[in-house]
Amino acid sequence: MPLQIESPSHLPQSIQGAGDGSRTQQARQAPVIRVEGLTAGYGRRVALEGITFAVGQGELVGLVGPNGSGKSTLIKTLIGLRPPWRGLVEVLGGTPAQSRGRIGYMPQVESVDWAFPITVREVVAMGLYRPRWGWARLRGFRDASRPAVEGAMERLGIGHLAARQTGELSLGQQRRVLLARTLVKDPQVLLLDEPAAGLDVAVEHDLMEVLVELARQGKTMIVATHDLTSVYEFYSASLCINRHMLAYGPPREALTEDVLVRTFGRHLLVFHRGEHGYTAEPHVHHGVHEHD
Amino acid sequence: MDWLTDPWQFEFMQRALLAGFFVAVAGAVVGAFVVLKGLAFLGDAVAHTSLAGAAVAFLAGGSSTVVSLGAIVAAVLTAVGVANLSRRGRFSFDTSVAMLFIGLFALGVLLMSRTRNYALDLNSLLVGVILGVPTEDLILMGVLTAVIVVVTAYFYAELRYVAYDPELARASGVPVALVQTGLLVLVALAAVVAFRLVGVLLVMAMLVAPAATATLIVRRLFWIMVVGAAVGTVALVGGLYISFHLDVAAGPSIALTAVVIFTLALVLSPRRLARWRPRRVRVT
Repeated sequence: MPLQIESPSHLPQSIQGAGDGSRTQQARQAPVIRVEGLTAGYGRRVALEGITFAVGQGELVGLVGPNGSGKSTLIKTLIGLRPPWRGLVEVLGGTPAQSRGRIGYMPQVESVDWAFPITVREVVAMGLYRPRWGWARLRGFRDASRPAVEGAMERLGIGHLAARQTGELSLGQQRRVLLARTLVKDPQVLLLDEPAAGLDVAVEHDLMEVLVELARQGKTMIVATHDLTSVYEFYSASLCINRHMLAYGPPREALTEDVLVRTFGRHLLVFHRGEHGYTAEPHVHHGVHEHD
Repeated sequence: MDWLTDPWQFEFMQRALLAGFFVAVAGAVVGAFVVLKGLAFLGDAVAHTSLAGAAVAFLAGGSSTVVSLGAIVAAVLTAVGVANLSRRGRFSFDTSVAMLFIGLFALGVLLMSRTRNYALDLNSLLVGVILGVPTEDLILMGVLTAVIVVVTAYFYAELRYVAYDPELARASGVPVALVQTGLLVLVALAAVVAFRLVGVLLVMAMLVAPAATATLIVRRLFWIMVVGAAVGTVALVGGLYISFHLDVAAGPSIALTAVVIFTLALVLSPRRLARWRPRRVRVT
């Protein structure tokens, strides 16, 4: 269960994390990710304002919000690519920069040049990159033959594709390659920016199984997503943002119709699913990419 | 068989072969990135802006080596300028290249027009001096080629990482802006090597054609560089034969041979167009 460090007064009482005892206790003792009063942006544009939340170990947090709502900015702040303007950001007990080696980050796939000639094995091995100088650099050339690379590929079921060019794989396979690259260093925290974008339902389901399994193994994850159905079914918490934080808590409690309307700025198709509460499908603009 | 061996009895042909080999190697190593990341326009621009540096050096009464150094300085300025303009100034890569291109090339031509034997010198800069390379220039180009190869090899992981996924490279601690600028400088240096030897007009022949041909034959970055260098060398030797026996200019002969080899590879390649057409990707 997520932990509400501070209850922002503008949030309805109902959406704050209720919490089952043990996990909450654990999170309270040592939250893996702690964000308090975070404000960040680009140039003079504020992308995030007053974000406060904490994530305990093994949580799978769905980061929900429309395009341009600050999801990518939040993730980039957590990995240390964006400095916070105000507020506190702590990952694994240190600043993002200090913890970077133990954080796995998967950016949006647009930044990848799929036409570039490179094999699956080489891409996964990139996850082991670290700056080296002098003769130590030669060790970098052995990265591709390390057991960790083999392990990460097996874990995601792409071992048989090791020698293939990444550009000729299916979308689902490409996503697994990028995830394997993220996992190769065995990070404690995973920050995934829309790993399911563009995948069909079946392939996305496969990906969700991988994520759920990783959470079971104790990885802490924040996943930006547009798929509210998956958030309901598989995630332990949802974090709704649209510049401000609108809700944080277990999906069934946090993703109320009211919150969704305020997050996405319009009414969504919301329907009941028995005791599971609501399921909603936002009207996502296809082909519009997020540049926040 | 005399027609095969005859040309190499002349020292200027031997020099041309060595000089051309430098161009082929520098061009292929850098050319792999030029083709895969769509940097050809930068190569073309550098070839032209080098003229400005060369002209300044020439007007200052410099020797051939000093003229080459002038060209190198102008090339590096162009690359760094493009990198900064496209990164900070919010201009597209093409526009940034064009602005540096226009500015420095115009300056170069302006300065050239002040020299008395303007036509003669401009011509040598347009078609290169491959059949009359002074020894000092040959050494300078050799050193430059070695620098390009060593730097590319040393930073191979970073160059490849940034080319494949700059976002993640940045998150992994790679100084992305520096690597991108460095790549543009490498392209600029290779363009200068080619510029001095085959001239402004034919830089593209050595920077793009061999690497593009290589992508039709092999599909690993490293092998694209190796095969590209081989293709460039074959084009060089073939072009020199044509030039020697038909008594035509060497530079265009080499360039045409390179394009013919590319066309043959294109027609015979099973993969055809698929590989050498890069997706449009921002590099800076």
